[in-house]
Amino acid sequence: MTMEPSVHAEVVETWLARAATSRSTRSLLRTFETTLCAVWSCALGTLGAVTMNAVADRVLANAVERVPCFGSLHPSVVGHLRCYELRLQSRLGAVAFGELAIGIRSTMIELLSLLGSLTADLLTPELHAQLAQLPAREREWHRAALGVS
Amino acid sequence: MRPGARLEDLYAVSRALVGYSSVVRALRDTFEIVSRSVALASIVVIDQDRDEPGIVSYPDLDEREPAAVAALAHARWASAYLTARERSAWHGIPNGGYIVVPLVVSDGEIFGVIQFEGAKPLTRDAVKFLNVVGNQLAIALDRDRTSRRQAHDAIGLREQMLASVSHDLRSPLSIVMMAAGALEAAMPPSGTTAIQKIQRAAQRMERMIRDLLDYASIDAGQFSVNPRTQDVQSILAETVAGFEATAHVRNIELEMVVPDGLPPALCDRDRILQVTGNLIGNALKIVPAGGLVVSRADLRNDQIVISIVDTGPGVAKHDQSRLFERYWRGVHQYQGTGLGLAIARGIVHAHGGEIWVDSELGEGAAFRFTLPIAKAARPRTEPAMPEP
Repeated sequence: MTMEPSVHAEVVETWLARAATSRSTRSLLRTFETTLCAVWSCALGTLGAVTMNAVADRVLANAVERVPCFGSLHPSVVGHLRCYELRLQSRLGAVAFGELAIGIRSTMIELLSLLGSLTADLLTPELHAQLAQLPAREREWHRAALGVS
Repeated sequence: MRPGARLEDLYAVSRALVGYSSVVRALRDTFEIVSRSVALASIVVIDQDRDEPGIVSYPDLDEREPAAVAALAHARWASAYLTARERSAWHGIPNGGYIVVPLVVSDGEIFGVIQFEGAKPLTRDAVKFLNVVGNQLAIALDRDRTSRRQAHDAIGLREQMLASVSHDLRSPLSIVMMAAGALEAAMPPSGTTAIQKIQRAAQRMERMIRDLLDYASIDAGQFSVNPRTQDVQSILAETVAGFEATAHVRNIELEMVVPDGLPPALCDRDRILQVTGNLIGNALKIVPAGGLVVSRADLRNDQIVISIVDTGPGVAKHDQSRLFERYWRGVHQYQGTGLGLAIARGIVHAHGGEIWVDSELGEGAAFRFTLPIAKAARPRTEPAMPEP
């Protein structure tokens, strides 16, 4: 049986609570991007790039309808891996933190639910594990960027 | 599972999908190979790249079975959501242990799904295999789709060229006909036989050109009619009168039956004359000497039904649906030049009516079409329409 969306919602909300502690729009966006890439990498080996591109495009198209500022999300290919960069620099000031958090929450839930539904939840435990690790990884990334060991 | 067996099965799937001219014909072979590799309870393919989504299941799912209903519902939901056909599809996801692979090619849009239902929980390797199968199927379906589009475009181009050439032919043909008429008038009666042959040939050409232009207009969706209140009996009488000489020569009896009090129709008289003329003309070509062609009009379900019933060889059931396709010519060639019935259908559809044939092979045929009743003359009684 496929997991109910509420199971994914619980995981996403826990992740979001950790990611949004600073209430910084820029930091939240970066965590979102890192999370998308991690989820992507995790599912890519099983589903393949063509399927993953199609899935991500669908979810992000829906996200734009819910959160207009996501219209600035541009897919780009990094090596063999397609990541989603947020090109919101020029509009950061206009994006409310609350609106962004709501958009990110619903997008992540939809992505996890969809990947769960397409794979009979085969990937769900690993994807949830990725979210559980990510804020910690984000801190590591910041430290590495600043040259702090 | 023997090492490498799944890879061999993947090769077999690829071979099956490229080995047929149409992917649909390769699906059963493909499903059998996949089921050999992974224990599956069902496979559902939904191709939404059509007006009506194409759904194929393996094995054939019995929609009375709850499991089949659930599998089909899940596949439909997934396809509607992934192809963005239905925004509400995301709500109320049916539960189930299905593997769904979007049908999509690189940089393309999703045009459907293939859904697999495991007979038992599937391993990651099995899911990878099924995804690759789904990707292969998508490529094959996309290839079919491209071929269909190219064929459609080629036909469109041909029709466009035919319409253009036909249009250009009209002016010189008019000159030929006028000149032949002038010559005929100037010649003594003994010398007009050859001129009359020219005139008959030119008239045939004119009819063929008119057919081509009409069909081009129907095909382009630009065909329009000018409906007015018309007396159906006079339409049928005019048509029958036009064929009396031909019927006499061929020893075929022409009859007309129109009940008293039949209300007028709302139609374009000239265009309906074209339809009745085509149907009676076809019947006269095919009914053997001593036969009968009846033109009748009846009232049914608030519509006028016009029937041309003949004692000809009839139309086999399997040919009846194709009879109104352009250029299709049956064994007995009720179709005439190949465009007549297609044009008749276009004209009837332009009136909001339907056209069809009731027939049994060897027992004659009844070509029928409906016309709307002129609003001011809605009937109170509906006499029964007799069978052919």
